[in-house]
Parts: sequence; C-alpha cells; structure tokens
Amino acid sequence: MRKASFWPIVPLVAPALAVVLFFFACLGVMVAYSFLPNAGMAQVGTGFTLANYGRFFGNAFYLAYVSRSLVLSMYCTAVTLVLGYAVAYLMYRATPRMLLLISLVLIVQFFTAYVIRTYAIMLVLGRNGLINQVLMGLGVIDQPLKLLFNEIGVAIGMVLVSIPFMVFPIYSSLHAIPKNLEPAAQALGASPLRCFWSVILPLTIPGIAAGVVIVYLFEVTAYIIPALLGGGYYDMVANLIYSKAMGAMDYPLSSAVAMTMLVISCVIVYGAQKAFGRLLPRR
Amino acid sequence: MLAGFAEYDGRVLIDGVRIDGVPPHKRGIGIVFQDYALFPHMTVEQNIGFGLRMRNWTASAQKDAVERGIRLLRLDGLGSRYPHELSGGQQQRVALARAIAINPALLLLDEPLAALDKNLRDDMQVELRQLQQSVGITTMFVTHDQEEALALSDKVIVMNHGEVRQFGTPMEIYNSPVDRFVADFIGKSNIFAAQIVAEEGGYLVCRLANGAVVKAPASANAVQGSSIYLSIRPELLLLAHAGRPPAGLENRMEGIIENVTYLGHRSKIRVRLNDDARLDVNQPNVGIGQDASWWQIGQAVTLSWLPENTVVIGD
Repeated sequence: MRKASFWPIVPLVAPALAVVLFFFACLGVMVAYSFLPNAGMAQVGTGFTLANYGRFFGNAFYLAYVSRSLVLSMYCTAVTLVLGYAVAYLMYRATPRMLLLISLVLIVQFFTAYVIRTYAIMLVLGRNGLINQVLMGLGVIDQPLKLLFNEIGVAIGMVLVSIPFMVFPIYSSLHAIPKNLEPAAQALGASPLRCFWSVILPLTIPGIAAGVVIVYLFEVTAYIIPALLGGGYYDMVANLIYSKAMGAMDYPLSSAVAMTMLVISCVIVYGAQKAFGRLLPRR
Repeated sequence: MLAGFAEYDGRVLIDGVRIDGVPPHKRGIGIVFQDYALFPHMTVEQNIGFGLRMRNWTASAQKDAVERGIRLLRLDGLGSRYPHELSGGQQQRVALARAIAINPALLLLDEPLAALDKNLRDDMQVELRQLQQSVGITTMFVTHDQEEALALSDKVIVMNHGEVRQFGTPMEIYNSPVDRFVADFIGKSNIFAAQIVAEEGGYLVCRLANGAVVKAPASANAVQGSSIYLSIRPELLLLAHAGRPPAGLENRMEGIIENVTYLGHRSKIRVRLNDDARLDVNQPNVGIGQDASWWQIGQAVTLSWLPENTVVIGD
C-alpha cells in the first residue's frame, strides 16, 4: 500500500485536534479546580485540597440531587425504552408512507430547539394546558391535575424529549434483521408473539443497549427540563452545578460535583457494556 | 402461498385437507430459504431444536431429535457453533435439519442451492436426493436451474410468469415438451415453424420455412396442411462435412458453421442455414485430441438426425 503522506491530511486533522484539545483542556481545568481551595467570586486559591469533595459528600442536601437524578433517570429510561421500542417496532412494520410520516415527526421534534420543545411541553402539561382541558372537558376530573413544576412534569418531559434517541438505534437494529428470519420462525411453529420474544427481541439487543446508554446519560445530565418543567421545585444535579457555579460563584465545588458525575457516568457506561455484552447475540 | 405468507385465491390441500385458513405457524410446513435464514443468535443445536421448542417438546425429546438431525446431516461436532462459524454447505445442512426436525407434512425448498458454487452444488444435489428418499417427505423444490429440476425430481412443474405450462416426470418434460416455452426452457432446443404436407409410413412430412423437407413422428392431432413447430435437441443432431452425411439419418439440412464454442467434453457449434436461421449443435469432443481444426468457422456442413428425434409441438 502507498504510504499516506503527512502534509495533505494536516488541514483535515488540525480542526479535529483543536476540538479534542479544547475539550480536554477544559476538562483538565475542571479536574484541577476540583482539587483547589475556593477563594470565592469564581476564584481559586493555591494548594491541593480534598475539601471540595468533602463539602459535597458531607452534605446530604447535595447528595440528594445526585440520587434523585440517578433514580429518576433510571425510571425514565425504562419508560422511554418501552415507548421507544413500540415506536421503532411500528416503524419497522409500517408501510413506506407511514414510515416517512413517523420519521418526519421524530426528526422535526429532534431538530426543534430544545428550549422551544420544552416550552411546548409546558403548554400541554400546564394548569390550563391541553391535557387538563381535555380531561376536564370530558368530565374525568373536576380539578386540574398538577403536571408541572413537580417530579411528574420533569419525568414526562425527559421521556418525551429522549424518545428519538431510543427509537433510532432500535429501529436500525430491527431493520438489520434478515427478512427471512420471521417467516422461518413462523414456519417452524412460532406464533407471532413467540417469534418476537425468541427471534426479534434478542436480535435488537445491540440497539437497545445503545439506546439505553444514550438516553440514560442524556437524562441524568438534564438541565433545561428540570429548570423549566420543574420550575425550581425539582432540580437535578446539573441545576445544582449551575447554581453553585453561576449563583454562588463556587467553581471548585461545582467542579467537584461535575467530576463525581463524570466518574459515575463512566462507571454506568462500562457496566452497561458489560451487562449487555453478555446478552449480545454472537456474530 | 404454500406456507401461508402470501395472499392468494384458490385452494391449497395437503393430504386432502384444505389449509387455506391456517396461519403459517400452524401449517407444519418445513421451509429451507435461499439464504437459509438461520437464527444468528442461536447455536446449530438451538437452530435445529427451534421448531421443537415452539412445539413444547420435553427437553429430552428435543435433545434426541436434535441429535438425530445432526447425525442425519453429518453435522457432528458442530452442534455448539454459531451459523457465522459455518461454511455455506454446513449452513445449508443446518437449515435442512431444522426444517426436517419438525417432521413436516411438506418440505419446501426455495432455490436452496443457488448460493453454492458449482461443485458443491452438484454434491448437494446428490445428497439432497438421497436424503429426500430416505426420510420420505414430500418435497417441493423451487429452482431456476433446469438441470437441477430434472436431476432431483420425480415430477416437474414448469411455470412461466406464474402459469403452469407442463406437469410431468423429468423424462416427459424433456422428451415431449408441450409447447415452445417448455422445449426451449428445459434444455436448449432448435425450434422451427413448419407445415405438414403429407403423412406417410407413420411419419409426418413437414416443410420448413427454408424449403427443407423433414420427417417427424406422426401424432394424433396433427392435421395435414396445418402449421406446427418442430423441436430438435442440439445433442441429437449429427454434424458432417458437406455432402457426406452418414447413412441412415433421413432428415438433413445444409449450412455453414458460424461459431464454435469449445466446452471440454463437447463443443457447441452454431450453424447458419441457407435462410439465415441459426441452429445449435452439441457435438461430443471424442477422439479429436488437440486438433482444434476439427470444426472451423465458415466450413460447409450437413446436419442430419433421426425422424424419431423430432418433437412435434402444437404451438
């Protein structure tokens, strides 16, 4: 093979390298800040210290943000998985027209600005929102349900916003299943339901794994959704980091929280890979 | 249609029982797909046992049946492999074992040999035939390879655009095709339009478009003066130097060699007749050794054949 010459690739690699370096530089600063004493007003002192981590782990109030984020994201990921799988499966079974329609809906919502999408959800969930008006109009309820500025609002918002992240990897997994496997299973006596459990589902585990990891990390770091749909009544860990950094100007503490979340996220990704790896079909 | 995956009009009966309303998973038809459709996430054993699991057989009955399948199709030692770890021929045998394991009323093979190379395909043909005979399951074999159809079947159905053209034993199909499509599709045929001019001594005397007069065996529905088609197999034609035809072969035509294709055990020679019609001849390459000058392009030749080897086709 011809040896790739060095100079022509420089213009291609340089921007990528700049991005990567910038990212790691920021990360490096954050690591450093988390081990430096807080001097207030976004300043740091000198000398290595574990005090920031001590302040964080020693405060049950702070830790509650972490556990709340981890647990709520877990429930939301599970719900997203069920709904997302259903949508992906519908797309897999759909006629080309229907497939186009569903994809269009998903893509439009995917590319709509995050904040706008979240406001739209507020309009639906609010006290005089669509859901309450319909339910009260039908006489199902007398009092409007409280779907906003609490845990339920945040959960609904997170699920709605993260569904495309779940649908696309699962759909591509479904799409990759050889077309004859289902007829083969049915000819061998598998009812449609057993065919799904023993052939379709196992073969979509790679898509499920990808979707679950992406969605979980997306939800655990949610900021705008708890800020708007929780309205300050249901803050998650990203909101804590923001308020410590921008409100209290305590960069070292917010760095320590961020570092902790980074480590937890890495552990979760690694654990998920291990767990799904055992379930993965061998190829 | 047979397996219940397609909508259709009409009726499908197996052993006299109509199965039209039965969903695919209750029909009990064994299918081997062209791409085998093995389950990639299951081992060979799990693949073969799939149908039995779906039938809720006991674990030990499943195990016995799977072992029988493995022995029958010589997959010994491969039981715990995954499909991607097998060769094409092995994958095919797994697909067969899986289809046979459920003891189907009918085995449906959809061009199962199409993906194999020629030598393996020939071996598998012999094996398939032996296997089919030994397990005794009625088998429907779909193929686009005409030779394969003749080699494997007791009965052949020739179809064109979804329409049945002829149904019969391989010999009937090959030796007495009912129409031009069958004659030309199953093996090559030289087909001529002709007119019956007389009937004498048990033979029809026919005049071809180029004026040649040839004899063909009499057939019941051939009326004097009517237009028919004559079909002659390329391997039944004898090629000789012009003006020196062998004695005894009554039908003759003159022509010029247009093309010679050397195929090893035989040569395919295309002869142009005086009216520009082309005729294919299969000539065995016996005793010519390295002598490539045996038949040459442009050479004038006489073609001859036995009247009995002419097949009369209505249309």
